[in-house]
Amino acid sequence: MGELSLIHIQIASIVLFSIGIYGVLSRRNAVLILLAIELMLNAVNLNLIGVSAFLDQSRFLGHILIIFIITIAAAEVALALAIVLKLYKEKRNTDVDKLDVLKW
Amino acid sequence: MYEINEAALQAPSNLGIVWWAPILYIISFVVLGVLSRTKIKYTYFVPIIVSFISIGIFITVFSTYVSNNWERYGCDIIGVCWNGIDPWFVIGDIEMHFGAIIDGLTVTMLGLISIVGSLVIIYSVSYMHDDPRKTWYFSCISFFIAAMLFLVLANNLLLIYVAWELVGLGSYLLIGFWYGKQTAVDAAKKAFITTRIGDVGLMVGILILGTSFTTSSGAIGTFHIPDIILAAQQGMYSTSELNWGCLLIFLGAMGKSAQFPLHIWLPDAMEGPTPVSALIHAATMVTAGIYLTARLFPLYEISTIALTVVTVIGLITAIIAASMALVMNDLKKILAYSTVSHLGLMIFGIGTGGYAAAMLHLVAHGFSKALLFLSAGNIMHSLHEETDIRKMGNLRHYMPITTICFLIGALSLSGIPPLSGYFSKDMLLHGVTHGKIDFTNIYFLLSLGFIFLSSLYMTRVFILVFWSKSTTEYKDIHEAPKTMNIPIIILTFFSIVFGIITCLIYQDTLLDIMHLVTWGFLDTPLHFEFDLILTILSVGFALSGIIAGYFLYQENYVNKSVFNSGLFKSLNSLISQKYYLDDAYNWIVSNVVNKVTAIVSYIDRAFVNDIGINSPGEAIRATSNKLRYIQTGKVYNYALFIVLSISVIVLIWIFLETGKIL
Repeated sequence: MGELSLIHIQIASIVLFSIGIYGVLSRRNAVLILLAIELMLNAVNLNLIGVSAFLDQSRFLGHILIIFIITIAAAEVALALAIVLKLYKEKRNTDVDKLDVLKW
Repeated sequence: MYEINEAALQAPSNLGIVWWAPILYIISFVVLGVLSRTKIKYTYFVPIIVSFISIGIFITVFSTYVSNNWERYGCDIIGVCWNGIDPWFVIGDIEMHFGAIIDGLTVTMLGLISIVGSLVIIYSVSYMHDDPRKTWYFSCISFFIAAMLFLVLANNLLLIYVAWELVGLGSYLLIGFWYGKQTAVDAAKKAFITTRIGDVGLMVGILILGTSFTTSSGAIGTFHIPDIILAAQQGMYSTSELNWGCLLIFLGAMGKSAQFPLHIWLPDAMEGPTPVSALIHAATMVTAGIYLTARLFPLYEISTIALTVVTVIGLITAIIAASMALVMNDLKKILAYSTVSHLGLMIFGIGTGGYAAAMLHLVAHGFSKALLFLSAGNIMHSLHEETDIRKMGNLRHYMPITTICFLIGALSLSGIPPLSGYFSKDMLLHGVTHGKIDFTNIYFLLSLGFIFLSSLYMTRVFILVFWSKSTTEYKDIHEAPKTMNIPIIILTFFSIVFGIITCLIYQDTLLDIMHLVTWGFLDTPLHFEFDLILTILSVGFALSGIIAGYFLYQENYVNKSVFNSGLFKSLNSLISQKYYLDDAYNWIVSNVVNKVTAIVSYIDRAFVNDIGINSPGEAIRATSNKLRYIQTGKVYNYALFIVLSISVIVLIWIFLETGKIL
């Protein structure tokens, strides 16, 4: 095992992102889809912090940005959970298979 | 390219005032049009004041014109540009100037339109007194007169065409003024459509004349009338271009001036209010064709074929319409056919070269015919819109003023000296006998026949309406109110003195101003010349018509049953059916036009509509119908599509950047 480098972080980020995509596409539960989306978001965050830390070592722009993103993501999750909750109250379930009113 | 007319710069500056005549009428049209939905009374003062100003403008222009003696400078055609040098618009190399021609022809027409228009408006105040829409009526009449004034002022053919169509619109509005009556609506449509046939010819003719020659400076064509006339005289048109141009423009004149076989709209146009009929017949509508033909006479002079057609059509119209006027029983229709007949005579006069005589007859006839129509309006007003002359009679005891005025108008149209109709008619005959045209003898005999017929039907109308014993009892019949009689009396005055003034007292001055340009083709009579034999012949024929009419209709000298047998019967039915022209047109429309339009409409429906427009639409609809099932409504399906699409895009991008996938 060599030293930790940018490529490792990026591979980790890709793996995390792929897991997220898989989760979004395969889960039927809205809450789990939300979790998968958060996973994808954090994969992107990881990629960003890695690039920032390795390629722009003199400054901390990426770090600052990440903190903002995490903050906003927290708010976003709150919003999304509220939507899911509302949905549950309306339909009595959170199965996205049953939520197909948008079709033709 | 257009060059500023030198004469325009030399022209007296106060000639520009002439534009205010149509512009004031347009203002009156707009103002009354806005007010027409309100309940304001006395709106008719606007057009009355405007018409007086218009007469003032005419007098100003007339005196300026006379005092400057333009023809002495060889400068008969004065271009007065509306805005000096700026063109109205430019098409390629052709600059259009919004200008006026002021010459004898224009001044003559200006006077006729102003005076008759003014009198008709004053007359209408009483005649239309009870009509709830009279504000709109006066608005329309202002529009109509304005359009006609534009027409006679215009110095280029395109402007004339615009004004020509506006006149058509005005006539449509006024003929169909009582749109509650189906006959009025039909008549308005008939007038509009029939004149449209001529207008198509006019448009094509204008385009042929305007674009088919090249001037020395390399410009292609012009619509400026003096330039066109100059070009024709310099031989810039080929013979066929000139012939076709003249013939097609004459087709337009035939439509507007109700020449055979496009005369059918004019008798039906009687459905409008009677003052409108007076206006149409005397000043504004039917004179347009005569005016245009006279205006472009130098072209017809060069194009012999067109001139022959003009002559023959005019003569046919004169004779045929006179014969129809003889058998009609509707007062206004008789007057209408009489107008058609006299218009034919004017066209015939132009064809024989006597355009000055034709214009003189136009004015003389205009006054007399306006007088007759307004008298007819009096009669109808008193008899509760009755127009059948068989139900009238003996009106002379009830309406003495109308009787005298009608008599003078009828005598003037029959050509009895010293009324104005005599002078103009004799001048026309003089042109026929002295013109350098073929078949002079035949023309002359036929025009004598025309004189006989015209005095015969005038006598018939007069006797049946005013003289013979009445077959019906009249109730509360009365002479028309003063406001209606005063215009009639003024017109009577003009009918009496116009000929004397122009032809005897001031003949040198006044006929000089009618003088267009002598082109040396004919020794055209530009002055009235007394010719004893001619006078004896024409007055003799007119008197014999009157005497024959007296014995036929008053004394019943000839047993009426003669007319109901043999040759007379078939002739009578032929004429009463208007020579089956209306039936022929109906047949043509139902059997030819409708069939052709059916085919065209089938092609339009099958190819343009179904194949061209509907089928692509149907194809897209069918495809979409299948494609819409990919919209499952399941969010993760959309997400999958997004992911796959992005993957594909990224792969393509990588491929384009690096030349290989992964």
